[in-house]
Order: sequence, then C-alpha cells, then structure tokens
Amino acid sequence: MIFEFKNATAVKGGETLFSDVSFVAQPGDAVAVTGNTESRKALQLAMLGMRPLKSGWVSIDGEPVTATTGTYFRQFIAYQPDSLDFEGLTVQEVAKSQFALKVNADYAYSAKAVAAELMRLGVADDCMQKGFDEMEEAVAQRASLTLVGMFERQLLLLDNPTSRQDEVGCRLVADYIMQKRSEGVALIVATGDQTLLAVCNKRVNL
Amino acid sequence: MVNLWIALTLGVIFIIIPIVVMGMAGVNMVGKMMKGLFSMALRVGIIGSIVYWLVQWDSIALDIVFVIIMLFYSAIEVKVKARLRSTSYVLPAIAGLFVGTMLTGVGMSLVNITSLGALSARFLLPVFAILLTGTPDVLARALSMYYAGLRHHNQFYYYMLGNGATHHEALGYLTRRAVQQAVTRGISAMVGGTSVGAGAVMMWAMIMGGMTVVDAVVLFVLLLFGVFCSSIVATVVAVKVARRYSLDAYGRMKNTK
Repeated sequence: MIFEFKNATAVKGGETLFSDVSFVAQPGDAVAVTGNTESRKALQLAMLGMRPLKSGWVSIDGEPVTATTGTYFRQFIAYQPDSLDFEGLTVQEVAKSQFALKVNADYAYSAKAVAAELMRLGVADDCMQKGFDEMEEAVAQRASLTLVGMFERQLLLLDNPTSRQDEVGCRLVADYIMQKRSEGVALIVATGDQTLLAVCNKRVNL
Repeated sequence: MVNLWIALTLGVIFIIIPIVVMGMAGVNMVGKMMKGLFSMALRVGIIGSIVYWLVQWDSIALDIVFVIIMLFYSAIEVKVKARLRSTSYVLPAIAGLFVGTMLTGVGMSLVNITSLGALSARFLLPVFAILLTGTPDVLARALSMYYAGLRHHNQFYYYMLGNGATHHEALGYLTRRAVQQAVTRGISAMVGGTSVGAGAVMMWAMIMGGMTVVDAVVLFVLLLFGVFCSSIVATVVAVKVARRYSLDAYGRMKNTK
C-alpha cells in the first residue's frame, strides 16, 4: 500500500499547524516527521481519517482518506499515541481489548505470545498484570509499542515513541523500526530523536 | 378511610415537636424548615391534584400523557443531576428512560391484567411513578461517568480507534464503565428499597389498600426488580443514543460540556 500526503494544510482555530505538506510512504519506508508536537499529532490523525484538512488530501493507494473512509482504512494502520493515560488498564486488558476487535478476528489471544513479544522490546512478562500507570514510563511506552505492532498492518504511525526512553530504550525502539521496515511495513514516525532520525529514510519538517 | 381531623392534628404535632426540640437545642433552622415544608406542600399539592383528577377520569389516554410529562421531567432531572450543561444531553436521557420504563412498566401491568385493573390509573400511575423516580437517579450517575470518561479519559478511545476499532468498539470500554456504575447504583438502590423508609411505607400503603401481605411483598419485590431492570436498560439505550450527540463526523469528541 502507498500512503500519500499531497499539498496538505491543516489549521486549528486560525493557526496553521502544517502547510502544503507532500510526501509518500511506501512499503519499507520510515518517514520521520519533525516539527512541533501538535502539528505532528495533527498529521497522524489526518492519516487516520480522524481530522479534517483545510486543503490538499491524504490518500491510501490513491483513495482519499476522509471521515467516511477512515473507518475502513484504519484496519490497515496501527497507531501509538504519545500519551498513555489508560486509567489503570493493565497491559493484558489492553491486549485483550485489541484482540477482541473485529479487525483482528484472525488473531487468537495468547498470554504467552504477548509476553514473548513484550520481551523483544525489553518488557518483562510480569508487566502483563500491571497497569500502564504502574510501570516506569519508559517500560509502559515500549509495552504499548509492542501491543501496537503485534498485528500485521501496512502502516505504523508512531507519535514520539522515544519521548520517555533513555539511550538503551531509544536503541531498542530504533531496532524495532528497522525490523518493521525489513518486513515491508511503512512507518510515519513523529520524532525529533537523533537515534530514530538515523533509521528513517525520509524526513518531513512541518 | 383516613380520619382527616386526626391526621391533621397529628401532622401539626409532628411539626411542633421538632420545632420545640430545635428551640431547646438552640438550633435556628425554623425558617429553613418552613421553606422546605412549603416546597413539599406545593409539590404534593400539585401532584396530588393531578393524580386525583386522573383517578377520577380513569382515562388511559390521559394517564399516558401524564406518564410522558413525567418522563420529560425525569430526563431534565437526569441532565441536572449528571451536571450536563448542553441541552443535547436530554435526548439520550429521554430515549433511555422511555425504553427502560416502558419495557418494565408494561411488563408490570401484566401482573394485574386478569382483573383489567392493570390498565386503570390506580395501578398504572404508581407503577410508572416509582419507575420514573428510581431510574433517573441511577441513569444520572451512569451518564455522568460516561461523559466524564469521554471528556477527561478519552485516550484509550483514540488509541483503540487508531488501531482499527469501530466507534462502537472504541466506546465499549466507556459503555462498560457506565453499565458497571448503573449496576452498582441499581443494587444499592434495590437494597436501600428494602430499608425501613421507602420499603416500609410502600408495603404499608399496599396493605392499607386491601392487599394481602403476600401480594404486597410480591409486588414490592417486583417493583424493586423493575426499577433495577429499567435503570440498566435506560443506561444502555441512553449511552447508545448519546454517541450520536457526543462525536463529530471524524469520531472526535464534540466540545460540549
């Protein structure tokens, strides 16, 4: 699938968040989106069909992503938000909620499989029973990245995925991005982190 | 038949005793009490007059009109109790109350259907009055939790939506919390209904009205179950309808308070 922004402009209350943005994300691409936090988030929400554009368009395989088509296209996308205020929900509860979605009907929940995935990003399996607010922020952020990346999607949208990581954590996330790229997944990564910028092959400054 | 003179005398005595006690204890709340008494008398007077004429006319059509008016009033009460500002929040409450109370109210009417008394104002009005006083309290709490979740704890909603959930699935967590709240409050209200206050008065009234103790107990328990069921159904329906008014075309929370 090909994900494209063409001359996209977004505003919020008269303030321009980004203007005339154009880029293409193909399978295996990692597009780093730099700029202020709100603009980066707005761009990702536009890709999800959860935010209108003032002008221009966002498309997937040439089909415009709108409020109406967004629901359909989101089945091909995974999204990791920057903030993870999940009100005490445990990793296991969030994982089960995701497995229960119609779009993931082909996947069967297995605690062992989820724990094994978590280990890949250095998250201990005892975190399964912990709430996101009970863990260290860095661990919680990597746990959410694991859950987001568990399902085979064509596009990964990551909003500041290293905002709470130390150097080791940044490396783990960067390796994870590289691995996804090698699997043919396209990524749009909102970041200013040099470690992540180094593993992205395209850059868009908002 | 109640002896009105004895009732009046007792009523005055029951008011005088607290006033005397307040005077002896130096509690200066007579004004507040009188204000409360006036408000109570006004409400009872208005409702009593309406019910008196409805019972006199004994018309199903008029009973239905009265029930609908009570329903609208209860919906506004839900909005006020749940501290919701926008008037668009009244519609989900009306829908929830309508489905919840009609379902259980009509069901309750079947209890007495053999004598056709179920369709008389004597039976219909108290049943719907009980349902429409018990259900709004639970519904208000459940909706309050639902909207608070939407406004302040919506990150999980966006997370789910961004990961392929439909709006219905993404709101499932908040819906579940609202229903949990309704069940908790409903159980609490059901247990509270058997306490000395409301329960004893209702049983007393039914026995005074000529029911056997067994019939009164059965009907009383049925009413408690009815209010519980009505509250849960009302919550589910209200939350479903609320979705339409709380999300924009992009699935984002509308900026209503």
